[in-house]
Amino acid sequence: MNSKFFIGIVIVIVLIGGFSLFYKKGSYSPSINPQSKTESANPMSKKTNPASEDKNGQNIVTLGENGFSPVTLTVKAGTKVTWLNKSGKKAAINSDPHPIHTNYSLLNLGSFESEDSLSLTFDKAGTFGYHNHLNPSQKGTIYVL
Amino acid sequence: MFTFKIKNYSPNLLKIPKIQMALFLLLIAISAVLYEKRFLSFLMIFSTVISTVTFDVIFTRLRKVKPILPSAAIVSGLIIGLLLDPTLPWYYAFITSAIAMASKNFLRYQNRHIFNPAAFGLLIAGLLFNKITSWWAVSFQAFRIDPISLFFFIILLSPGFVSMVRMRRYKILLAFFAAYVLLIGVLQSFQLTKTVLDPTIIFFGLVMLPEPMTSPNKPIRQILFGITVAAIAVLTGLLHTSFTFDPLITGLLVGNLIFFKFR
Repeated sequence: MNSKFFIGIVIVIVLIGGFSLFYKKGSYSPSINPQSKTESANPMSKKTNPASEDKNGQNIVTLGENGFSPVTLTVKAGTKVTWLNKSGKKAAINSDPHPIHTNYSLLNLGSFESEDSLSLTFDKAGTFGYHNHLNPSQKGTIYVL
Repeated sequence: MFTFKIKNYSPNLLKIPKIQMALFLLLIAISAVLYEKRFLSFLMIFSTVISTVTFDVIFTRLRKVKPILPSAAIVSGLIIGLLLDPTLPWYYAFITSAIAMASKNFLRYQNRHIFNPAAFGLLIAGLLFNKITSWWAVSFQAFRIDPISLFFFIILLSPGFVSMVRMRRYKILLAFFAAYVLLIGVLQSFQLTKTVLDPTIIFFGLVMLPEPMTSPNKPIRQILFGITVAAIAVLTGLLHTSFTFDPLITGLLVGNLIFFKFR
């Protein structure tokens, strides 16, 4: 009786989780832009040439000792956002929530050393929270219109 | 008042699984402090261990139970120290440790505590102070093919000798990993290596998840427990709860609550 009760609970939980997953996957999911997928999949492409970034400094998020600046950034769909690490130490850009990073997998850009950069093109509208996995109190949000 | 009269324990402390676990956790702590190059981090770990041992002794005396070697409190203190942000004020470690040991001593069923003490302390203190669990000491050991990275990664795996070999809790870990990888795989297009080799997930699975006092003993229940914790963790992440509801810790505590009567 007890074992059946348990198995029942676990099945219910997994079903709820599975339903939520598919519901959520429908919301986020892409037809992933091949350009952005290549950028996130190819480690070499993560380190952008500073000269190719926006000369006005737009769409750039700088990580300093005290966190990301700007904390929130609003961009249009199809825009590339670049993170510059000026913190003096290694950092890692990962999607919320900490520490499982499941909200938006393309935002799991991984670690980068000080003075390096990472980029991602946001193809779909939405709100994308992220943090520095190595110091998760440092958080930011990208709003894509 | 605080002398211990310990009967019938092996004079060789190094054979006690909890002591072995504490030594491996200490090794992780030292490697993390060396990596961070910040002595402050070690102070946090030291203060959490002292706090948990002190509160465990006090609460044990309040329960009028004969004191034993506080090896469990040492392990809990080390876990809290490895996971708490080392830049937080000193009282944060103190309060987290107090809450952890209070749950260990007073939230009990049939002479066993219900919740993983470190996880309980971290979650409740996190909610009280609106601070997330950092996992600072178990985030940097990414698996890479270079000597230093491998060295840190192997240190991260070392507690597995206690939980998987000595305590034989591998069914819980395998069930958790299988369920977690499957669920995350659906979300992240099966980026298996990133999931399976995530140092935070590895530490959680090897150290916190299979804690013997708060996880089932029977094989089928161990498997169900592992699956349940994985499902709750992923579900918590999906629900966009406040940042302080750490998905892994929430999954573990809910699993403890579901299974505490069915060990």
